[in-house]
Amino acid sequence: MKIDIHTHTKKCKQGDAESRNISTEKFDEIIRLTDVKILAITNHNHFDLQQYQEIKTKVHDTCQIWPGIELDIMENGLKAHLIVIPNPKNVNEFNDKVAELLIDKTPDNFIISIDETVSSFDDFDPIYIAHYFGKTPNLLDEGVARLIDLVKNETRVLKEASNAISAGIFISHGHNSIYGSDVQNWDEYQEISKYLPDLRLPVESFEQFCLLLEKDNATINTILDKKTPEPLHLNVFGVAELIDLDIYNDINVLFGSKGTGKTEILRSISKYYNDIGFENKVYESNALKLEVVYDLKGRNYDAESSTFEIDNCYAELSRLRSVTEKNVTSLSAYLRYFSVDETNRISRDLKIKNYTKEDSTSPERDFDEIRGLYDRFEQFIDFIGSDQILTDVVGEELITELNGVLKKISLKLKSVSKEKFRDLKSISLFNQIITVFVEEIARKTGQPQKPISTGFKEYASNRIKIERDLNKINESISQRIEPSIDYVGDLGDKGHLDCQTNVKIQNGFIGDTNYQPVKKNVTKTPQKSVASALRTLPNHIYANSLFEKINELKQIDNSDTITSISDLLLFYRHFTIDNEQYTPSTGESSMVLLHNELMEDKEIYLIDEPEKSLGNDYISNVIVPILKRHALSGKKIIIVTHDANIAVRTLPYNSIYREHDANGYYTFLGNPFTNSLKCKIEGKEDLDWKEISMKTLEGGRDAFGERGKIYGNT
Amino acid sequence: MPSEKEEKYMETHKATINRLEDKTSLILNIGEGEVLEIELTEDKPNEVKRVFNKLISFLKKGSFEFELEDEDEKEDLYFHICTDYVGQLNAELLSIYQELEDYQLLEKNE
Repeated sequence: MKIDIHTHTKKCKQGDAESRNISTEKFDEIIRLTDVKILAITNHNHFDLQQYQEIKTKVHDTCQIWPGIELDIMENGLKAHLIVIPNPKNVNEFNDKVAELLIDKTPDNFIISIDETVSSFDDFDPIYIAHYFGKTPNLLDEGVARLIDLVKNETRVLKEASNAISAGIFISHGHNSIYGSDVQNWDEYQEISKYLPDLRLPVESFEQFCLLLEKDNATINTILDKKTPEPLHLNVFGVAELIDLDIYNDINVLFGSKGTGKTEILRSISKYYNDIGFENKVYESNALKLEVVYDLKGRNYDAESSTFEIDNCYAELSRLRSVTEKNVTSLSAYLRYFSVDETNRISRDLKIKNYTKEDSTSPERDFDEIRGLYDRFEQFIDFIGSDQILTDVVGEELITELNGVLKKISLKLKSVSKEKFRDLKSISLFNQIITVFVEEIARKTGQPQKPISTGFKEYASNRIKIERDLNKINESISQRIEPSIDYVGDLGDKGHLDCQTNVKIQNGFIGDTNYQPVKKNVTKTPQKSVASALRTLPNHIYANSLFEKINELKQIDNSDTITSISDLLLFYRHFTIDNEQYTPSTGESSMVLLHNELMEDKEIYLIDEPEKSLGNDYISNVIVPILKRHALSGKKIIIVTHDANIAVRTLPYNSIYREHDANGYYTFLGNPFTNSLKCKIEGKEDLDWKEISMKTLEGGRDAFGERGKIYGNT
Repeated sequence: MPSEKEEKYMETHKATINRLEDKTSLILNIGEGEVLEIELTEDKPNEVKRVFNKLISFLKKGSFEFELEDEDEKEDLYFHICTDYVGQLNAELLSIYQELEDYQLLEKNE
């Protein structure tokens, strides 16, 4: 179906070619040889009502004729052409206005401003088409902006391109654009018409063309157009009722009475697309609960303390459980040793037994520290040597320089490390010699063994180790974890709904019953009791009661389930608005779930009755704009609905209507632009899309009432 | 051997032997009026541990050692025991002080 919005039937200006003149009969002949189904007569600064009516009557069965005029515009000192095509219903008023404007003027000397054009014609529900860019004399962007500012409905302003390619480019940049033949010679029109724009959908009236303009920028098919129907052959209800559908990469509304199998068809469409590799699922309203989707009870929630950059202290807790008291050297051992005279001469001469053992732990720590530094430097040197990208980026010279410095440091560390190792081994060997001699002297002489340590060092070291472990554990426990907040959805005036997950580490004081253990194998009682015990243990580190308290901790029921800080984690998840706890209603939950479903980036959206539990305002103000946005970007949206807000306000390219009567079930396909619904089964008459929509859809009359003008509803 | 730095700050407390009829004890005068007693004539490990715990607590405030002063000037059994015991204890006190220092467990009151 071709459309030509720019034709001339008369030579009006001196510069016009004679070949623009055409008789009604010749027009009729030519137009029937083309696929042009809509044509606007837009002579230069002139409108001939009589000719318009003759032509219209003559071709009424093959082509819609719209009245129009191509005006000479003067804007900011520059001349341009602007086509005005009024609603054909207003042709008489339009004719009167043109006559009024042309009093004492000829098409050759007529000139008008944009402001006067709009004030003269805007009441006639017109479309404005400005020569643009390559189509000269063209209106500049400022002029177009001025025009858009002045008109009642900005979707009615189009830019006239010089050809299909230019129109496609303008459209792809979001500009309403179209082009016409601007015919110079009617003898060539049949050939020219082949290159005229195709309409995306059959349009049966000026009003429906305007509806299509409102739908999106891409009113016409261009070479850049990607919106095409995809035929589907579905076996939903058995071979007795095979269903053939066209699915557009746009909004496809499936509607009809209850019990006509719409949901089954939707599922079948879902299966079809899944089978060919387009992963999708049917979104069924009310099938999901928001608190389940966001797992408020935390059935699938898990976290480790390391998630929050907190050490899990597994080793420390494990050591604390297994630690034992270090015994001190019995004083009777000293008494026994010194009570016996040392009679053995050799033993008396072996002074080494009287030496005190030297401390080896401090040199050991020193050695470990230096050795650790050396190892890390070596690793870094290896890394530099192995990373070619680093060398490429930084340059060979710098790397060599860095390597030189690092190697010097490494050598120094190695040398100190060797010294520390020698010192450590000297002390170890010295201490070992003392031990060996003391033991051997006692064994050989039969005299009591000389105590070589009071036991203080071992005793104190043990306690220090416990203190360090407890410090680390309690430091981890005292950490505060910031709540994590996930955006859930928009609740309009109420604000953003968030899902807040609060995580705390049980420190022995938390008694809030809302908080539950993160780990499923842990219960709250041992968590609290163990944390409480861990908190009080530091008070006993340097007291005789320490191991009694450690035993008490170990004896807490199920304390063995607490093996790390992760086992002390508690969480509480809830919804919030502006950081205040909030419980969304069923309707609000539905709003958010549907919104989130539609905000997912998918190729295919299959939605079953999105209107359930939702208010009209939310559907109209939030859902419908999202659906339109997806449709514009070429996504497939297939919606089963009983709601006129969705079925009408989204201006679907494709309406699928299901009906049943005594003889069976029927599927009709149509759209608001053709205002018809057609069934592929022979004998079934076409239905009126508007009538059926008003009858079948909830809120249908209101929806049409609001759009009465555009749908021609009175 | 204590390092120069440690010697600089190391305090020396008095250790004495308290010889009574029924018992003899090593008395450690830790300062601030605190007196710790280790009985030599009877094994009381918990008492020794209590003393050790006190010593660790004091070590956290600063390094120290004991010097045995026997007012009775007897070189008896207890003198030998205490001489040996205090010598060993001093070495161990120093080692633990260093450990506390290395692990930053000293009380910061300097």
